Amino acid sequence: MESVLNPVEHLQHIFGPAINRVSTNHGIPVVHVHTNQISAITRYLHANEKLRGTLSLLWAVDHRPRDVCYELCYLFTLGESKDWLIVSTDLPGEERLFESITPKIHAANWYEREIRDMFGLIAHGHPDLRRLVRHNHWPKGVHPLHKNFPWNSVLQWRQPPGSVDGQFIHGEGVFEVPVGPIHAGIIEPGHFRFTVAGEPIMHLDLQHFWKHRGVEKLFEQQTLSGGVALAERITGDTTLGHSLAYCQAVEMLWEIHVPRRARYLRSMFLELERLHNHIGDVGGICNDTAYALAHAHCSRLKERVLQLNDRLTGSRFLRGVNCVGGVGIDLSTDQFSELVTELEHIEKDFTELEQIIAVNASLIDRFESTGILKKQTAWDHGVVGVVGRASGIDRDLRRDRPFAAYDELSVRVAGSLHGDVRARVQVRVSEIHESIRLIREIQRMLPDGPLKGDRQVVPDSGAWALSAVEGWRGEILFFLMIGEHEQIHRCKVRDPSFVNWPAIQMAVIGNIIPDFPLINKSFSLSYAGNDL
Amino acid sequence: MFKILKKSFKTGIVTGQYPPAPTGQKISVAPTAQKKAELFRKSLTIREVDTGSCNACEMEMNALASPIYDIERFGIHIAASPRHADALVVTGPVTINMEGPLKDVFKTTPNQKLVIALGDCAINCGIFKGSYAVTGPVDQHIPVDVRIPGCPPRPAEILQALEDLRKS
Repeated sequence: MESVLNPVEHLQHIFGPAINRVSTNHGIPVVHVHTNQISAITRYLHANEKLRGTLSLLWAVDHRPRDVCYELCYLFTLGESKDWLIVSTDLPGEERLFESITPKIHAANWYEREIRDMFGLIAHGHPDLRRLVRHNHWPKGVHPLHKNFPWNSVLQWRQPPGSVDGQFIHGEGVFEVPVGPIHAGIIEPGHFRFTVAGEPIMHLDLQHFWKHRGVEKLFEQQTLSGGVALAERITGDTTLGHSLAYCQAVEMLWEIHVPRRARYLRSMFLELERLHNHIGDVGGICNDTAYALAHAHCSRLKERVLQLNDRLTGSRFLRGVNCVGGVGIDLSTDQFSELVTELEHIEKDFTELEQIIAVNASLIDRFESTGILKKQTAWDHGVVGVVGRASGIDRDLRRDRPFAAYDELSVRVAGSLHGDVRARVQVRVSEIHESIRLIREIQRMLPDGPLKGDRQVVPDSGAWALSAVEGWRGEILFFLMIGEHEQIHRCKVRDPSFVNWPAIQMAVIGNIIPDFPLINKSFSLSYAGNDL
Repeated sequence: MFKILKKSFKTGIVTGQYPPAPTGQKISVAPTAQKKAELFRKSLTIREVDTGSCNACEMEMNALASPIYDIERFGIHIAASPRHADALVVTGPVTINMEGPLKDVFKTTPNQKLVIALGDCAINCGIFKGSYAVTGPVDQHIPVDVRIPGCPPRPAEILQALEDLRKS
C-alpha cells in the first residue's frame, strides 16, 4: 500500500496523530509535527528504504516579535526522486530543549551545534555539544541570531583567546599535531588537530569559524533588494553561485518571471565560475604533490578565464552580474564569439596538459587510494557536490532541480565510485569539459529578449522561499523569510563547505599527515562560506 | 618527456600578459612606511594573513605567484611563516575570532616590518562594518603602513602598489 503513496501521505500513514498539519510552500511540502516526535519521524525518513531522505539543511527561525516561538526546520532530499520535504516543529515560549537527531543522522551534527551557538537552543542527547561558532573567549549567554540581540553589539572577551576544547586521545605513542589557524600558504584560517600514532592519522578534529563575520545577522539588516552585494561576498570564489541563489529566493517571493535570455546568461556565468575554480583546483592538487609544472600551467589557464571574466563583465569574479529579476550585464554577439574562441583555446591547452598529467606515475601514485571517502560515509554525512559525486553520490541540482536555464540544457553529470583524490580530480576534469560544452550550447540556443523581469506581488510578512543552486563546489541553499516592510527576517545560508568539512575528518583517517594538504585541496572547501 | 618540452615551447613566456593597472589608484602610504620600505628595495618577503576576508583577496594574492604575474621577478617572495617575513599583507575585516591570532602574528614578525592592509575590508571593514563578530579594521589592532583599496584589488594593482612603494 505504501508504494503508491507520496512521501507526505506515507508519513501520515505511519505517524498519523503526531503530524499537526501539512502545508505547501512554492511546491515544497512542509510537514508540521509535534516536537517530541521529531526524532522518530526524521529517523524514519532517513532510514526507510523507499524514502531514503538525506538531511540537506537544518535551521532555526526566531519568530519574535510576531510570535513568541522558535521554529526548527529539517529539509530532506528524498532518495531517487530528489524531491524536497520539510519537517518542521515549533518550540513555543521559553522552551529551549529539543531532541537531537545527530545520534541517528550524522549530517545533523554541525547544524545542531550551530543552532545552540546562534540561538541558545539545546539539542538534547547530542554527543558533542562543544562550542562551534563561538570560540571559548566569547562571553556566555550570547546568541547572535536571537531577535533581541543587537546586530552591532560589542562583545567583551571572557578570557584570552586561543584555548580550544579538543577531542583528545591518550595512550602510549599517541601524539597530537596542532596546525593553524594561520597556515603556510596563502589560504584561509582554520585549526586542525591531528592525533597520530606513528605515521597514520587516527583522528582529526576541526576547529573552524575563525572567519565568522555574522553574515546571517547582517542579512537581517537588509531589505530584500539590498542583499545581493552581501551574498556576493559570502565566499569570493563563489560570488555568482551565492548571488544567484539569493536572487532566486527573492524572485520566488516577488513572483518575478525571469526572462529566458537572463536565465541563459546566468547559466553561462555560473559555468564560467565553475571553469576557473576547477582549473585552479586541478593545478592546486598537483601542486600539493609538488608537481609544479601542472600547477604553473593551470594557474596560467585560470588567469586567462579570470581576465576573460574581467573583459566581459568588468569584474574578475563576476561581481555585479546578478541582480534581483535577472542580470545586469548583457553580452553582444562579438563578445560571445570572443568568449567561445577563447574557451576553445583554453580547452585545447588544458587537454594537452591533461595528457601530461594522466601518465605521470608519481602523480598517480599520490592520487590513487589517498583520502578515500566511502559512499556510505558520504551518504551518512549528506556530502554534496564534486566530493559527493566522486564518492558515488549521484546528485547534481542542474539535473535534479533545474534552475536558471538548465531545464532546457542537457547536463551530463560526472561521477566516480572510488572516492579517492584521483576520483575527485577526474570529476573536476570531466566537469571542465562539460562546462565548456554547456557554454557552447548556450551560445547556440541563446534567445533574444529583456534581461530583467518585474515584481508581481507584495508578499506578506512571514512569507519564505528556499532556493538552490549547484555552484562549482556543490549545492548552495538559501532560506529567506521576510518580516515587516520587506526587511529580511531570517536568512539561512548554506555553502556546500559546511556539510563537506565534517566528512574530511572521515576521509583522512589512516592516511599520513603529509597527504593531508593533498586531501584537503582535493575537497577544496571554503572557510569563509563555512564560517559565515 | 617530449610532450612536456613541447608544451613548454608551445606556451612560451607568458609573464606580463595582463592588462596594466589603472592609473590614479588611491593607495595610501604612511610617512613612516617610506623609510622602512627602503630596507626592502631589492628583496621583500611577504606573509599573508587572512583575518576574515571573503577569500577573493586571497585568490588575487595567489594569482601574483602565477607565471602571468610572477611576483618573484621583482624579488618579492611569499614566506610560509611570519618569522621569515618583512611585510604582513592582511586581508579582511578583523573578526572576533581572528583578533588574537593577528596580534600573535604581528608580535612574531621581526622588526622592521611593514603592514599592508589589502582590500576594502582590511581598510574599513567594507560590507561587514558594524557586525557583532567584527572587531574593527586592521589599523585598530596593529599599525598599518600601506593601504591598497579594492574589492578585491586586481593583481596588477597590488603589484603596482608594491613596486611604487619600493621605488619611491
